[in-house]
Amino acid sequence: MNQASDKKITIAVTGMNAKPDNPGPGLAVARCLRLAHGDQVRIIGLGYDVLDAGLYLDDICDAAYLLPYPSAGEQQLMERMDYIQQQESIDVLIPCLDAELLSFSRLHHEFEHLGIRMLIPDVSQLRDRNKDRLGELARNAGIRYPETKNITSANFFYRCHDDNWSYPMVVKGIFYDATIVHNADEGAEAFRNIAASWGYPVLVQRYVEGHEVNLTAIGDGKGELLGAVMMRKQAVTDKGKAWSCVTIEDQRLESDALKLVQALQWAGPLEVEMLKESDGQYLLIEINPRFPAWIYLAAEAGSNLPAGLVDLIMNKQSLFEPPKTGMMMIRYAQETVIDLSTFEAMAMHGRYIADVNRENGQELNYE
Amino acid sequence: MKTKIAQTRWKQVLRAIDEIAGKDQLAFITTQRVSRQSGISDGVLFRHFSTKEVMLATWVETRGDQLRLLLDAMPAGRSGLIYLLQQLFQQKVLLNFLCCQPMDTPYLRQLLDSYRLQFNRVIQTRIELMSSTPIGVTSDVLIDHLMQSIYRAWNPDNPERDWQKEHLMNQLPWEKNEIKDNTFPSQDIMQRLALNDSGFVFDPVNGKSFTANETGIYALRFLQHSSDSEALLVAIARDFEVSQSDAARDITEFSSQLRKFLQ
Repeated sequence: MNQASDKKITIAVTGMNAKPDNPGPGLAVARCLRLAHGDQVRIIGLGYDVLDAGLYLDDICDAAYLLPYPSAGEQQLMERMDYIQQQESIDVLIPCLDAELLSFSRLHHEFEHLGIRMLIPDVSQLRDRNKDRLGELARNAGIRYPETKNITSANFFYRCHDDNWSYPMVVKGIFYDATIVHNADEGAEAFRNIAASWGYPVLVQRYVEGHEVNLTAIGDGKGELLGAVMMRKQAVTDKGKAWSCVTIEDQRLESDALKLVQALQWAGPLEVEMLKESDGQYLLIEINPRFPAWIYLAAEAGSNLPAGLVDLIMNKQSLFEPPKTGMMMIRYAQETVIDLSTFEAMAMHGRYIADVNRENGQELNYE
Repeated sequence: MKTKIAQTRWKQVLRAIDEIAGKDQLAFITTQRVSRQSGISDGVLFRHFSTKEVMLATWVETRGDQLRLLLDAMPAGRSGLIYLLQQLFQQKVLLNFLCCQPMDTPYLRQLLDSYRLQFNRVIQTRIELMSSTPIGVTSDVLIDHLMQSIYRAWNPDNPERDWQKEHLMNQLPWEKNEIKDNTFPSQDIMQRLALNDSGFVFDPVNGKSFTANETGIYALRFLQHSSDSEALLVAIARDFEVSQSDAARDITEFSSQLRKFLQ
């Protein structure tokens, strides 16, 4: 079904999961677009699970679809996107999850043929900032990085002292999850959990004391860093995700991020996570190849990066204003309530169109 | 027992690591760098040290033991502290050992930190036993003040380090009610602070916020416009009707807290 107006740009956004302690960035990205454009854009939410709350928020998403998990393969993804494109005529797609980016990057040209535009890193750029290669990138860019090692067995944690590793240390998945472990049993358990969720390799990293400072921006693909916004975490959840943070202005963080963008010739959104030690030294922790979940803070601070990204992709003039420092974000949980027909539409058909489903819901009687 | 050649090689390596520490590059040290600096090839280097970590651990222990000997030789009282400072500035390798950024490898870092902690403890004990320290100022604050001053006198990036060094070789940093310009964070740090008369202070670079009382806000506003600590001392004594010694004591303590917050 095509949207009613041909004048509105249609933007698809993934990452619509909104678990309170670990939300995906997609809903925040969509909120940024609404903040910039109101209802002058059409937003299509794309998720992987029927319980992705963002899919059902009518004031944010005009329509929502389920995608096949990345493990289902690129052919299934392509077929699904082809179907969605026939329904929605998407102009721009903003991927928001690490685990899907490789597939989207490989299918970049195929998507373009469908008429879907993206600004995302290519396969080699994604590979070069992978956690198991980040040390090499950091060294080449002249940035400090905690020693990291690939492990394939939980036995490592019981003999780590032979390799000059000691506790605490951080156990990480290749895409997600990071757990600080204080002894061998904790390490082994973290290893098993992460391997079960994300596969191999599992990484261990030296633990460093300090506080985290993060930067989000857009790389233009030519070595420039656009619209940088920086923040310091003030409070974190049990999973280490920020639920309160404040915007800052840290020239060292910005110059290190620029070094990385130049080294990679990065295209698209990114988040650079660094640790600032008590003696003022910085270490690179991670580069995330998409907007972070706190991106709405950037928009309210005056630098609406998702809107700027869309302008860039659509070859419009994009202005990136310097953000205000001292703007504070505090995340809260809110519920959305849906009726059974809405859930049925998503579970059975993998789609939810806000206006159409309200009509269909009236026809169904589950009493 | 080392052969003569082995001893020579070890001294070359020691000097090379000292030079790298002197440039504050210990965190980035590699065996190739040590090889280049010392003029000893990689192959020969590894004949004497099985790994980079063994090389660095030996350096830490050697310099750490040297520092310990210096502490043992230090006379009591104020003159002992002055003697120690003079020796440190003459034996630059020990100053580098105390002040440089540590290595990233945790056990090496812990080893280095253990010597530095021991140094701090000994000096703090000596300060506690001195009769001429500022009244009402704890030894924690004074040792912090001293270590910060030593660091500033060493820091290769500090344009005033020669002045700092000269001062420290003759006088302890808290002496004669003098509050030196280097007590507080630099003026560009002070100027970036957002201050409110309510007492709320926000640092836009590190994102930290804290509260200060009326005197603290007064001092911060003053320091945003002037780095003249003497003038601040006089102003506080006048405007808050306190003695200069009380003002000096409070300013020393305040500056110590500020340095912890404003990195």
